[in-house]
Amino acid sequence: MIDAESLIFEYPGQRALDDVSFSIPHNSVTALVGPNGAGKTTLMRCLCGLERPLAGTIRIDGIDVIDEPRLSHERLGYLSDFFGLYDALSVRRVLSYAASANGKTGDLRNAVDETAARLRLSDRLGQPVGELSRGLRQRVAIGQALIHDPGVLILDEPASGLDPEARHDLAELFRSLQKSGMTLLVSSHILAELEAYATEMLVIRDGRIVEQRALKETAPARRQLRIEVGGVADNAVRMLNNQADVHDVRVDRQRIFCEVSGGDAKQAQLLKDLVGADVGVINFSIVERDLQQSYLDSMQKPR
Amino acid sequence: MNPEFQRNLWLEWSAHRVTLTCVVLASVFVLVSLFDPNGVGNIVANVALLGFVTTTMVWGSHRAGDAMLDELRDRTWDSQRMSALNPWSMTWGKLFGATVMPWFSGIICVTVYGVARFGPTVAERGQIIATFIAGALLAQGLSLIGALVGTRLEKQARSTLASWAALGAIGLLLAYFSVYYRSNEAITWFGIATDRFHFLTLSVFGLAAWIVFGGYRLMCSELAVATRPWAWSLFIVYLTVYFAGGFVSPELPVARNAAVFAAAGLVVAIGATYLAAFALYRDPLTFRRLTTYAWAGHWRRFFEEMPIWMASFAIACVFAIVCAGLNFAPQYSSERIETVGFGGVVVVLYSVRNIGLLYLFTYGNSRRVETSTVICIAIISWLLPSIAESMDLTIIEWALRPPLWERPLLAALIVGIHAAIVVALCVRRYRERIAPASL
Repeated sequence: MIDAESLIFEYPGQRALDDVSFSIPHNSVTALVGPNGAGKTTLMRCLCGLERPLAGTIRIDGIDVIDEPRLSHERLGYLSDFFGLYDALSVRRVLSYAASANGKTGDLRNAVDETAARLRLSDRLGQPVGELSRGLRQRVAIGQALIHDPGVLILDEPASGLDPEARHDLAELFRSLQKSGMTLLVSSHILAELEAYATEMLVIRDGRIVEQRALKETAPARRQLRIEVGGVADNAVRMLNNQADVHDVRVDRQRIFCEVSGGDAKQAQLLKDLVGADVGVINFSIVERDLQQSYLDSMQKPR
Repeated sequence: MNPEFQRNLWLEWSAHRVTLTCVVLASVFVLVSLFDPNGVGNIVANVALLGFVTTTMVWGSHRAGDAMLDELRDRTWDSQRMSALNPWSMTWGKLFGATVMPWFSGIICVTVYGVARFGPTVAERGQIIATFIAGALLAQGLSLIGALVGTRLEKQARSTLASWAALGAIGLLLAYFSVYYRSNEAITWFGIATDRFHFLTLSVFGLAAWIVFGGYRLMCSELAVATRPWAWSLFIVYLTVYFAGGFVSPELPVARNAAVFAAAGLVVAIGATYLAAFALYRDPLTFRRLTTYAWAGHWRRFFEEMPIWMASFAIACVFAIVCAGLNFAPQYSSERIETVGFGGVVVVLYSVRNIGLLYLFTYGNSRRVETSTVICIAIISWLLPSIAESMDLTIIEWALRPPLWERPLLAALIVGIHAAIVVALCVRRYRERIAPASL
């Protein structure tokens, strides 16, 4: 759906994007994460055709964004990190303008009503945008970006400044947009929230993509186990180290962490062997590798 | 309806404002008519015309510039850039939407003028009104252009540029009236005697049309519609023809007319080069992009991103070559416009040096690039040579300010050396600060 190849973007004396290539699948929610100044906003603006890279290609739904930016805009919705709204206009007029300016034809009133309902803004349609709370303004801005039914929605830090309830609502909205067939690319610093809806993760550091992977893998090749034992762990560690399918055994007092390949059968066999070796197993569980952990792992990789 | 126009109407047009405008204008006209000894007459008409200038040119220009500046200030410009609105809809939507109240007030004023003015015939009054309307469009269009140019400048510079652009338009109109009232003689253009009033009216109309078109072209760039600098080149040709028309005559020899035409073209093209280089945003990475595109053979992108000063510079080079070539043709008078000769090449080399200095400051840390460049040029070309001249140090004076008209070949050599030094310094600073080798 979104394909970038060998993207290079420079600011004077600084390369902001350095040979960036990736591919984002259709109907996914991709979390774009990276430290401040990594190039997230620049990358998003290039994807939207708002900045022109020095070299490389970007295709959205098969359209070359660099050569045909206007055509690609028909398929794109974008929410900037510092978005603005026409504060003096009512929510209805703001959405109505966004619909007609984005080439939406037909019953505009109906389109506005539908978008407002989707964003739970129906009771605010007559209110001036300037009088709305930050969370509601965010929803209006998202409404502006998606009222023309784009296939791809790009959102730069959409949850910044929102209270926990508004963030929860936003996560629900993104899940529903994905269900409706949309592809989303979302950048955020709040990784715990991205985890609630992201299906892919794209990690950028110093203008380079350092990792791209699916977050909801059904059968990972290796799973991490946490084993808590009563008493001394030496026996269990020795036994685990002797197993062919067990890797990276680490001990933290009475807790043992290791990675196991071989799936459910091997996991069951391992528990059986530990119990058989008279190890007092208190806890035997899979450690879920969350987005935060994945991100930190990516950041710790050598450059 | 054009969505941009409609949005501006929502913001600008209200019953309250309309009522207030009508009441204020009616009060002013009634009050003025009380001081008019003949009742409703010329004093009211003149006040109405002044009202039109104030509302459409001053207030309207301010609003036209703000139509863009508000988008930047309120951070709504990105969503507009990504909208499906075409550049023309966006241009006229802003130009007439944001200025709807100034135009409403202005129309009331010109209606009062048309009714109250004694003396001129209905046709003459109509022509005066049409000229003023075109003038207002010119001022508003220039203000919009100033704001559009400012989209890539710092916040403070944006509004300053828009205001200067509007002031420039009003200055142009004042120049128009000074020419109009100077005499009643016909204006001779390409040897044809033309009614002064008609000629100047058409001039204002022509310039207003170009300004609105210029606004549209700048809007194209902002809305990611690919543009190449043909419109700018055409505008230079238009101005060349316009100004040369005052000197060229079919009754005079072809070589003389060609020399005059080339000289006029050189002046216009060099002026346009300086204007575009100084006023428009200079991306420090322009040359990196252009060389990258050229190496990759992306000529379409090359011409789309080429700064427009390069187009006018290329035209200036052509005119300079023509001027130099015509140096060998028979001379008909000693007037400078006919005898530019090799001096044209020197003028072009001066522009290379001066624009090189501009880029040298652009690549540096200077915050006021244009001011620094102008001061530097003034020191090199005027202050130091004048000091040297006062001390009879002719060699130093000539090394800085060679005798352009008396010894054009020597001048070309010296200014060529200036230009080469500045370009070398530019390249060095560019490599150090803008595109270091490690990139």
